[in-house]
Amino acid sequence: MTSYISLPMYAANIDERLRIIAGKCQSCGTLAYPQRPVCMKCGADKFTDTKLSGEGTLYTFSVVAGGGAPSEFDDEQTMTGDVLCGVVELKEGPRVMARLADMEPGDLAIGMKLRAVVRRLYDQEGILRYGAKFVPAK
Amino acid sequence: MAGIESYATALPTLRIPASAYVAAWGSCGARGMKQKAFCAYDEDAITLAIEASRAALDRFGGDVHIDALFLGVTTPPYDEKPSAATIPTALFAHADLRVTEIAGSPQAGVQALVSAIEFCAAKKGRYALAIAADAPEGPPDGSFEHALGAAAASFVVGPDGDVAALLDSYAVTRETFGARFRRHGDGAISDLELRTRDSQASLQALGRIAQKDKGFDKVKRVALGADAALMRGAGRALGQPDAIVDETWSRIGDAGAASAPFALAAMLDEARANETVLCAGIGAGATAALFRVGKGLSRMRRKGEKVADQMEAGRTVDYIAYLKHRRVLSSRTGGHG
Repeated sequence: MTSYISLPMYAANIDERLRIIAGKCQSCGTLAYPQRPVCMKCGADKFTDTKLSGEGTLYTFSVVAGGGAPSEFDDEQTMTGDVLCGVVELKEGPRVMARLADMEPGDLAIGMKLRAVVRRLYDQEGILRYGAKFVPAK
Repeated sequence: MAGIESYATALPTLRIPASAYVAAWGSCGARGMKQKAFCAYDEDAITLAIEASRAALDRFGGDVHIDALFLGVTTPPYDEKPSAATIPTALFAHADLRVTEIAGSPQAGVQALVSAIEFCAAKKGRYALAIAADAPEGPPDGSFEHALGAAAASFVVGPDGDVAALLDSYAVTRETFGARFRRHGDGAISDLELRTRDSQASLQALGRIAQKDKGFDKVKRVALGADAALMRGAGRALGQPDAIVDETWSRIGDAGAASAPFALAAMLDEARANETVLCAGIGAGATAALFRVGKGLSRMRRKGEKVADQMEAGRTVDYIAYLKHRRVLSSRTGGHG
Protein backbone atom coordinates (compact mmCIF):
# COMPACT_ATOMS: atom_id res chain seq x y z
CA MET A 1 0.00 0.00 0.00
CA THR A 2 1.23 3.49 -0.70
CA SER A 3 -0.10 7.01 -0.54
CA TYR A 4 2.31 8.32 -3.15
CA ILE A 5 2.35 12.07 -3.69
CA SER A 6 4.40 13.20 -6.66
CA LEU A 7 7.15 15.72 -6.01
CA PRO A 8 5.53 18.39 -8.23
CA MET A 9 2.30 18.01 -6.24
CA TYR A 10 4.22 18.13 -2.98
CA ALA A 11 6.12 21.22 -4.11
CA ALA A 12 2.95 22.96 -5.29
CA ASN A 13 1.52 23.16 -1.79
CA ILE A 14 4.63 23.12 0.40
CA ASP A 15 3.80 26.53 1.94
CA GLU A 16 0.32 25.34 2.82
CA ARG A 17 1.75 22.19 4.40
CA LEU A 18 4.51 23.78 6.47
CA ARG A 19 2.76 26.98 7.56
CA ILE A 20 -0.79 25.61 7.87
CA ILE A 21 -2.41 27.93 5.35
CA ALA A 22 -6.08 27.34 4.72
CA GLY A 23 -8.19 28.55 1.82
CA LYS A 24 -10.97 30.91 2.88
CA CYS A 25 -13.91 30.78 0.51
CA GLN A 26 -14.42 34.24 -0.99
CA SER A 27 -18.12 33.54 -1.29
CA CYS A 28 -19.17 32.11 2.10
CA GLY A 29 -16.05 32.41 4.29
CA THR A 30 -15.69 28.68 4.96
CA LEU A 31 -12.14 27.61 5.71
CA ALA A 32 -10.70 24.59 3.94
CA TYR A 33 -7.56 22.85 5.16
CA PRO A 34 -6.09 21.07 3.34
CA GLN A 35 -7.06 23.44 0.57
CA ARG A 36 -9.50 22.21 -2.06
CA PRO A 37 -10.43 23.46 -5.53
CA VAL A 38 -14.12 23.83 -4.64
CA CYS A 39 -15.77 25.01 -1.41
CA MET A 40 -17.42 22.11 0.42
CA LYS A 41 -20.20 24.36 1.66
CA CYS A 42 -21.21 26.57 -1.26
CA GLY A 43 -19.38 25.18 -4.29
CA ALA A 44 -17.51 28.42 -5.05
CA ASP A 45 -14.00 28.11 -6.44
CA LYS A 46 -12.23 31.26 -5.27
CA PHE A 47 -10.25 31.26 -2.04
CA THR A 48 -7.99 33.58 -0.07
CA ASP A 49 -4.94 32.17 1.68
CA THR A 50 -5.45 32.34 5.44
CA LYS A 51 -2.79 31.33 7.93
CA LEU A 52 -4.08 29.19 10.78
CA SER A 53 -2.68 29.00 14.30
CA GLY A 54 -1.73 25.33 14.11
CA GLU A 55 -3.52 24.79 17.43
CA GLY A 56 -6.30 22.28 17.81
CA THR A 57 -7.72 19.31 19.65
CA LEU A 58 -7.70 15.62 18.91
CA TYR A 59 -11.08 14.77 17.37
CA THR A 60 -10.39 11.08 16.87
CA PHE A 61 -7.39 8.83 16.36
CA SER A 62 -6.15 5.51 15.11
CA VAL A 63 -3.10 3.43 15.99
CA VAL A 64 -1.67 1.64 12.96
CA ALA A 65 -0.02 -1.51 14.25
CA GLY A 66 2.98 -3.27 12.74
CA GLY A 67 2.87 -3.76 8.96
CA GLY A 68 -0.27 -1.70 8.49
CA ALA A 69 1.23 1.60 7.43
CA PRO A 70 1.79 2.68 3.81
CA SER A 71 5.12 1.60 2.37
CA GLU A 72 6.80 4.99 2.75
CA PHE A 73 6.49 4.55 6.50
CA ASP A 74 7.83 0.96 6.53
CA ASP A 75 11.24 1.76 7.91
CA GLU A 76 9.91 4.22 10.47
CA GLN A 77 7.39 1.68 11.70
CA THR A 78 10.04 -1.03 11.93
CA MET A 79 12.28 1.29 13.93
CA THR A 80 9.78 3.03 16.16
CA GLY A 81 6.66 0.84 16.40
CA ASP A 82 3.06 1.94 16.11
CA VAL A 83 2.19 4.77 13.75
CA LEU A 84 -0.20 7.24 15.35
CA CYS A 85 -2.73 9.06 13.18
CA GLY A 86 -5.58 11.34 14.06
CA VAL A 87 -8.16 13.83 12.95
CA VAL A 88 -7.33 17.18 14.49
CA GLU A 89 -9.98 19.81 14.87
CA LEU A 90 -8.16 23.07 14.35
CA LYS A 91 -9.03 26.07 16.52
CA GLU A 92 -10.35 27.91 13.47
CA GLY A 93 -12.69 25.05 12.53
CA PRO A 94 -11.29 22.77 9.84
CA ARG A 95 -10.60 19.15 10.66
CA VAL A 96 -7.45 17.66 9.24
CA MET A 97 -6.11 14.13 9.13
CA ALA A 98 -2.52 14.09 10.32
CA ARG A 99 0.29 12.12 11.88
CA LEU A 100 0.73 12.48 15.63
CA ALA A 101 4.19 12.56 17.20
CA ASP A 102 6.02 12.59 20.54
CA MET A 103 3.38 10.32 22.04
CA GLU A 104 2.76 6.67 22.85
CA PRO A 105 -0.62 5.09 22.09
CA GLY A 106 -1.54 5.26 25.77
CA ASP A 107 -1.07 9.03 25.77
CA LEU A 108 -3.81 9.60 23.19
CA ALA A 109 -7.08 11.06 24.44
CA ILE A 110 -9.89 12.58 22.45
CA GLY A 111 -10.05 16.30 23.18
CA MET A 112 -6.39 16.65 24.10
CA LYS A 113 -4.79 19.89 23.02
CA LEU A 114 -2.32 19.66 20.17
CA ARG A 115 -0.07 21.95 18.18
CA ALA A 116 1.41 21.61 14.73
CA VAL A 117 5.15 21.15 14.26
CA VAL A 118 7.27 20.51 11.19
CA ARG A 119 8.73 17.02 11.01
CA ARG A 120 10.08 14.63 8.43
CA LEU A 121 7.09 12.74 7.05
CA TYR A 122 9.09 10.31 4.97
CA ASP A 123 12.07 9.98 2.67
CA GLN A 124 11.26 9.02 -0.92
CA GLU A 125 13.11 9.32 -4.24
CA GLY A 126 16.06 10.76 -2.33
CA ILE A 127 13.97 13.70 -1.19
CA LEU A 128 12.97 14.37 2.40
CA ARG A 129 9.28 15.19 2.65
CA TYR A 130 8.75 17.61 5.51
CA GLY A 131 5.25 18.33 6.68
CA ALA A 132 3.04 19.08 9.65
CA LYS A 133 2.57 16.64 12.47
CA PHE A 134 0.74 17.30 15.70
CA VAL A 135 2.28 16.99 19.16
CA PRO A 136 0.88 17.72 22.63
CA ALA A 137 0.42 21.45 23.26
CA LYS A 138 2.79 23.01 25.79
CA MET B 1 23.97 48.79 19.01
CA ALA B 2 23.16 45.73 16.90
CA GLY B 3 22.56 42.50 18.70
CA ILE B 4 20.00 40.02 19.96
CA GLU B 5 16.38 41.15 20.25
CA SER B 6 14.73 37.79 20.89
CA TYR B 7 15.83 34.20 21.43
CA ALA B 8 14.48 30.71 22.00
CA THR B 9 15.69 27.14 21.97
CA ALA B 10 14.37 23.73 20.99
CA LEU B 11 15.27 20.24 22.12
CA PRO B 12 14.02 16.90 20.88
CA THR B 13 11.66 15.09 23.25
CA LEU B 14 13.81 12.00 23.58
CA ARG B 15 16.54 11.57 26.21
CA ILE B 16 19.01 8.80 26.90
CA PRO B 17 20.83 8.70 30.24
CA ALA B 18 24.56 8.01 30.57
CA SER B 19 23.60 4.91 32.55
CA ALA B 20 22.16 3.37 29.36
CA TYR B 21 25.65 3.49 27.81
CA VAL B 22 27.12 1.94 30.95
CA ALA B 23 24.57 -0.87 30.70
CA ALA B 24 25.26 -1.41 26.99
CA TRP B 25 29.02 -0.89 26.79
CA GLY B 26 30.28 -1.14 30.36
CA SER B 27 31.11 2.56 30.52
CA CYS B 28 30.05 5.92 29.18
CA GLY B 29 32.64 7.84 27.20
CA ALA B 30 31.04 11.16 28.12
CA ARG B 31 32.34 11.65 31.65
CA GLY B 32 30.20 14.07 33.62
CA MET B 33 27.22 13.84 31.26
CA LYS B 34 23.98 12.84 33.00
CA GLN B 35 21.85 12.47 29.89
CA LYS B 36 21.60 13.75 26.35
CA ALA B 37 18.79 14.85 24.08
CA PHE B 38 18.65 13.23 20.65
CA CYS B 39 16.50 13.36 17.54
CA ALA B 40 13.53 11.06 17.13
CA TYR B 41 13.21 9.25 13.80
CA ASP B 42 11.29 12.18 12.30
CA GLU B 43 13.50 14.99 13.59
CA ASP B 44 16.70 16.56 12.33
CA ALA B 45 18.60 19.83 12.55
CA ILE B 46 16.10 21.51 10.23
CA THR B 47 12.99 20.56 12.20
CA LEU B 48 14.69 21.72 15.41
CA ALA B 49 15.70 24.97 13.70
CA ILE B 50 12.09 25.63 12.71
CA GLU B 51 10.82 24.86 16.22
CA ALA B 52 13.32 27.20 17.89
CA SER B 53 12.76 29.95 15.32
CA ARG B 54 8.98 29.89 15.65
CA ALA B 55 9.40 30.33 19.40
CA ALA B 56 11.93 33.16 18.97
CA LEU B 57 9.64 34.97 16.52
CA ASP B 58 6.63 34.47 18.82
CA ARG B 59 8.62 35.97 21.67
CA PHE B 60 9.60 38.93 19.52
CA GLY B 61 5.94 39.53 18.71
CA GLY B 62 4.33 41.27 15.79
CA ASP B 63 5.06 40.77 12.15
CA VAL B 64 8.78 41.26 11.71
CA HIS B 65 10.24 41.20 8.22
CA ILE B 66 13.38 39.07 8.34
CA ASP B 67 15.89 40.17 5.71
CA ALA B 68 18.43 37.39 6.16
CA LEU B 69 18.73 33.99 7.72
CA PHE B 70 22.06 32.54 8.83
CA LEU B 71 22.07 28.86 9.76
CA GLY B 72 25.01 27.28 11.55
CA VAL B 73 24.82 23.50 11.19
CA THR B 74 27.25 20.64 10.65
CA THR B 75 24.52 18.13 9.81
CA PRO B 76 22.40 19.61 7.04
CA PRO B 77 20.35 16.86 5.38
CA TYR B 78 21.65 17.83 1.94
CA ASP B 79 25.18 18.56 0.75
CA GLU B 80 23.70 20.31 -2.29
CA LYS B 81 20.23 21.93 -2.31
CA PRO B 82 20.02 24.47 0.48
CA SER B 83 18.81 22.62 3.54
CA ALA B 84 18.14 25.98 5.16
CA ALA B 85 15.60 26.87 2.45
CA THR B 86 13.04 24.72 4.26
CA ILE B 87 13.22 27.04 7.27
CA PRO B 88 11.88 30.26 5.68
CA THR B 89 9.32 28.19 3.80
CA ALA B 90 8.02 27.05 7.17
CA LEU B 91 8.22 30.50 8.75
CA PHE B 92 7.51 33.27 6.29
CA ALA B 93 5.27 34.22 3.39
CA HIS B 94 8.08 36.28 1.84
CA ALA B 95 11.04 34.89 -0.06
CA ASP B 96 13.09 38.08 -0.46
CA LEU B 97 15.72 37.20 2.07
CA ARG B 98 19.34 36.11 2.06
CA VAL B 99 19.82 32.55 3.30
CA THR B 100 23.32 31.48 4.27
CA GLU B 101 24.42 28.10 5.59
CA ILE B 102 27.60 27.93 7.63
CA ALA B 103 29.08 24.52 8.36
CA GLY B 104 32.44 22.83 8.86
CA SER B 105 32.92 22.80 12.62
CA PRO B 106 31.13 23.33 15.94
CA GLN B 107 32.01 27.02 15.52
CA ALA B 108 29.29 27.29 12.85
CA GLY B 109 26.51 28.30 15.24
CA VAL B 110 28.42 31.23 16.73
CA GLN B 111 29.66 32.17 13.26
CA ALA B 112 26.03 32.36 12.12
CA LEU B 113 25.14 34.55 15.10
CA VAL B 114 28.05 36.94 14.52
CA SER B 115 27.34 37.06 10.77
CA ALA B 116 23.68 37.89 11.33
CA ILE B 117 24.52 40.71 13.73
CA GLU B 118 27.19 42.08 11.40
CA PHE B 119 24.61 41.96 8.57
CA CYS B 120 22.31 44.19 10.62
CA ALA B 121 25.14 46.43 11.84
CA ALA B 122 26.16 46.99 8.22
CA LYS B 123 22.55 48.01 7.53
CA LYS B 124 22.13 45.40 4.81
CA GLY B 125 18.75 44.76 6.36
CA ARG B 126 16.94 45.63 9.58
CA TYR B 127 16.33 42.18 11.06
CA ALA B 128 17.96 38.81 10.61
CA LEU B 129 17.50 35.38 12.06
CA ALA B 130 20.54 33.54 13.38
CA ILE B 131 19.95 29.85 13.93
CA ALA B 132 22.27 27.23 15.35
CA ALA B 133 20.88 23.73 14.97
CA ASP B 134 22.69 20.44 14.94
CA ALA B 135 22.42 16.72 15.53
CA PRO B 136 25.94 15.29 15.12
CA GLU B 137 26.28 11.56 14.71
CA GLY B 138 29.15 9.20 15.31
CA PRO B 139 29.69 5.49 14.83
CA PRO B 140 27.97 3.48 17.57
CA ASP B 141 31.26 1.79 18.52
CA GLY B 142 33.13 5.06 19.04
CA SER B 143 33.24 6.25 22.64
CA PHE B 144 33.07 9.87 21.47
CA GLU B 145 29.61 9.04 20.09
CA HIS B 146 28.26 8.72 23.62
CA ALA B 147 28.12 12.49 24.04
CA LEU B 148 26.60 13.41 20.67
CA GLY B 149 23.15 14.95 21.10
CA ALA B 150 20.93 17.48 19.38
CA ALA B 151 19.60 20.97 20.02
CA ALA B 152 18.77 24.29 18.39
CA ALA B 153 18.86 27.94 19.36
CA SER B 154 17.41 30.78 17.34
CA PHE B 155 17.97 34.52 17.71
CA VAL B 156 16.14 37.44 16.16
CA VAL B 157 18.85 40.04 15.73
CA GLY B 158 18.36 43.66 14.88
CA PRO B 159 19.70 47.19 15.10
CA ASP B 160 18.85 47.83 18.77
CA GLY B 161 20.16 44.66 20.41
CA ASP B 162 18.09 45.42 23.49
CA VAL B 163 18.33 41.86 24.81
CA ALA B 164 22.09 41.54 24.29
CA ALA B 165 24.23 43.90 22.24
CA LEU B 166 27.32 42.62 20.47
CA LEU B 167 30.37 44.38 21.90
CA ASP B 168 33.00 42.52 19.94
CA SER B 169 33.87 39.22 18.33
CA TYR B 170 37.06 37.18 18.29
CA ALA B 171 38.24 34.26 16.24
CA VAL B 172 41.18 31.94 16.02
CA THR B 173 41.73 29.29 13.37
CA ARG B 174 43.76 26.17 13.94
CA GLU B 175 44.21 23.28 11.59
CA THR B 176 43.65 20.04 13.43
CA PHE B 177 44.44 16.48 12.46
CA GLY B 178 42.53 13.48 13.71
CA ALA B 179 40.07 15.25 15.98
CA ARG B 180 36.43 15.47 14.97
CA PHE B 181 36.39 15.30 11.19
CA ARG B 182 34.03 14.01 8.52
CA ARG B 183 34.94 13.43 4.91
CA HIS B 184 32.60 14.59 2.15
CA GLY B 185 29.67 12.19 1.87
CA ASP B 186 30.17 10.58 5.26
CA GLY B 187 27.29 10.67 7.69
CA ALA B 188 29.16 10.10 10.91
CA ILE B 189 31.94 12.06 12.56
CA SER B 190 35.31 10.38 12.90
CA ASP B 191 37.72 11.02 15.71
CA LEU B 192 41.02 9.21 16.02
CA GLU B 193 40.97 9.93 19.76
CA LEU B 194 44.61 10.98 19.76
CA ARG B 195 44.01 13.09 22.88
CA THR B 196 45.74 16.08 21.34
CA ARG B 197 43.61 18.43 23.47
CA ASP B 198 42.76 20.55 20.42
CA SER B 199 39.75 22.15 22.05
CA GLN B 200 41.79 23.25 25.07
CA ALA B 201 44.42 24.71 22.74
CA SER B 202 41.75 26.56 20.76
CA LEU B 203 40.24 28.00 23.91
CA GLN B 204 43.63 29.12 25.20
CA ALA B 205 44.44 30.75 21.85
CA LEU B 206 41.09 32.50 21.94
CA GLY B 207 41.80 33.71 25.46
CA ARG B 208 45.15 35.21 24.41
CA ILE B 209 43.49 37.13 21.59
CA ALA B 210 40.48 38.30 23.58
CA GLN B 211 42.51 39.49 26.57
CA LYS B 212 44.17 42.10 24.36
CA ASP B 213 40.74 43.75 24.11
CA LYS B 214 40.11 46.28 26.91
CA GLY B 215 36.40 45.45 26.93
CA PHE B 216 37.15 41.87 27.80
CA ASP B 217 38.29 42.44 31.37
CA LYS B 218 35.04 41.73 33.22
CA VAL B 219 33.25 38.81 31.65
CA LYS B 220 30.55 37.63 34.01
CA ARG B 221 29.38 34.55 32.13
CA VAL B 222 30.86 32.20 29.57
CA ALA B 223 28.60 30.12 27.31
CA LEU B 224 30.45 27.26 25.68
CA GLY B 225 28.24 24.18 25.78
CA ALA B 226 31.52 22.44 26.43
CA ASP B 227 32.15 19.02 27.92
CA ALA B 228 33.10 18.69 31.58
CA ALA B 229 36.85 18.66 30.98
CA LEU B 230 36.90 21.74 28.75
CA MET B 231 34.45 23.56 30.99
CA ARG B 232 36.62 23.10 34.09
CA GLY B 233 39.57 24.94 32.60
CA ALA B 234 37.60 27.46 30.56
CA GLY B 235 37.62 30.38 32.98
CA ARG B 236 41.39 30.14 33.52
CA ALA B 237 42.10 29.67 29.80
CA LEU B 238 40.16 32.82 29.02
CA GLY B 239 41.76 34.81 31.83
CA GLN B 240 38.38 34.99 33.56
CA PRO B 241 38.72 32.60 36.51
CA ASP B 242 35.65 34.00 38.28
CA ALA B 243 33.32 33.79 35.30
CA ILE B 244 30.27 31.54 35.53
CA VAL B 245 30.56 28.80 32.90
CA ASP B 246 27.42 27.05 31.64
CA GLU B 247 26.67 23.41 32.47
CA THR B 248 24.29 22.61 29.62
CA TRP B 249 26.49 19.84 28.18
CA SER B 250 25.82 17.57 31.15
CA ARG B 251 22.05 17.76 30.44
CA ILE B 252 21.80 17.67 26.65
CA GLY B 253 25.14 16.35 25.43
CA ASP B 254 27.27 17.68 22.60
CA ALA B 255 24.97 19.43 20.14
CA GLY B 256 27.75 20.40 17.75
CA ALA B 257 27.23 23.83 16.23
CA ALA B 258 24.22 24.41 18.50
CA SER B 259 26.09 23.80 21.77
CA ALA B 260 27.44 27.29 22.44
CA PRO B 261 24.39 29.26 21.19
CA PHE B 262 22.11 26.97 23.21
CA ALA B 263 24.29 27.66 26.25
CA LEU B 264 24.06 31.39 25.50
CA ALA B 265 20.27 31.15 25.58
CA ALA B 266 20.48 29.33 28.93
CA MET B 267 22.77 32.12 30.23
CA LEU B 268 20.36 34.81 29.01
CA ASP B 269 17.61 33.13 31.03
CA GLU B 270 19.67 33.87 34.16
CA ALA B 271 21.60 37.05 33.33
CA ARG B 272 20.97 40.59 34.55
CA ALA B 273 21.17 43.87 32.68
CA ASN B 274 24.69 45.16 32.02
CA GLU B 275 26.38 41.80 32.60
CA THR B 276 28.80 40.70 29.91
CA VAL B 277 28.43 37.25 28.40
CA LEU B 278 30.95 35.55 26.15
CA CYS B 279 29.64 32.89 23.77
CA ALA B 280 32.33 30.77 22.16
CA GLY B 281 32.04 27.92 19.70
CA ILE B 282 35.07 25.66 19.96
CA GLY B 283 36.37 23.16 17.41
CA ALA B 284 39.32 23.43 15.03
CA GLY B 285 39.72 26.94 16.36
CA ALA B 286 37.18 29.14 18.01
CA THR B 287 34.72 31.91 17.26
CA ALA B 288 33.44 34.03 20.10
CA ALA B 289 30.99 36.86 20.58
CA LEU B 290 31.01 39.19 23.56
CA PHE B 291 27.63 40.60 24.54
CA ARG B 292 26.38 43.14 27.01
CA VAL B 293 22.97 42.22 28.38
CA GLY B 294 20.37 44.91 27.80
CA LYS B 295 17.25 46.11 29.57
CA GLY B 296 15.05 44.31 27.06
CA LEU B 297 16.04 40.94 28.44
CA SER B 298 13.73 40.93 31.47
CA ARG B 299 10.76 41.81 29.25
CA MET B 300 11.69 39.07 26.81
CA ARG B 301 11.97 36.47 29.57
CA ARG B 302 8.35 36.96 30.64
CA LYS B 303 7.25 35.12 27.51
CA GLY B 304 8.04 31.63 26.32
CA GLU B 305 9.63 28.56 27.74
CA LYS B 306 12.75 28.54 29.93
CA VAL B 307 15.77 26.63 28.69
CA ALA B 308 16.07 24.90 32.07
CA ASP B 309 12.50 23.63 31.76
CA GLN B 310 13.20 22.27 28.27
CA MET B 311 16.25 20.41 29.57
CA GLU B 312 14.23 19.02 32.46
CA ALA B 313 11.39 17.78 30.23
CA GLY B 314 11.57 14.90 27.78
CA ARG B 315 11.00 11.17 27.61
CA THR B 316 13.76 8.75 28.53
CA VAL B 317 14.27 5.70 26.34
CA ASP B 318 16.66 2.76 26.43
CA TYR B 319 19.71 2.17 24.27
CA ILE B 320 17.97 -0.07 21.72
CA ALA B 321 15.24 2.51 21.16
CA TYR B 322 18.00 5.11 20.75
CA LEU B 323 19.70 3.05 18.04
CA LYS B 324 16.39 2.53 16.26
CA HIS B 325 15.48 6.21 16.24
CA ARG B 326 18.93 6.97 14.90
CA ARG B 327 18.36 4.34 12.16
CA VAL B 328 21.54 2.54 13.20
CA LEU B 329 19.65 -0.77 13.16
CA SER B 330 17.93 -0.08 9.84
CA SER B 331 19.10 -2.15 6.87
CA ARG B 332 17.35 0.30 4.54
CA THR B 333 19.30 3.34 5.55
CA GLY B 334 22.58 1.68 6.49
CA GLY B 335 22.69 3.48 9.79
CA HIS B 336 22.27 7.04 8.51
CA GLY B 337 19.23 9.16 7.93
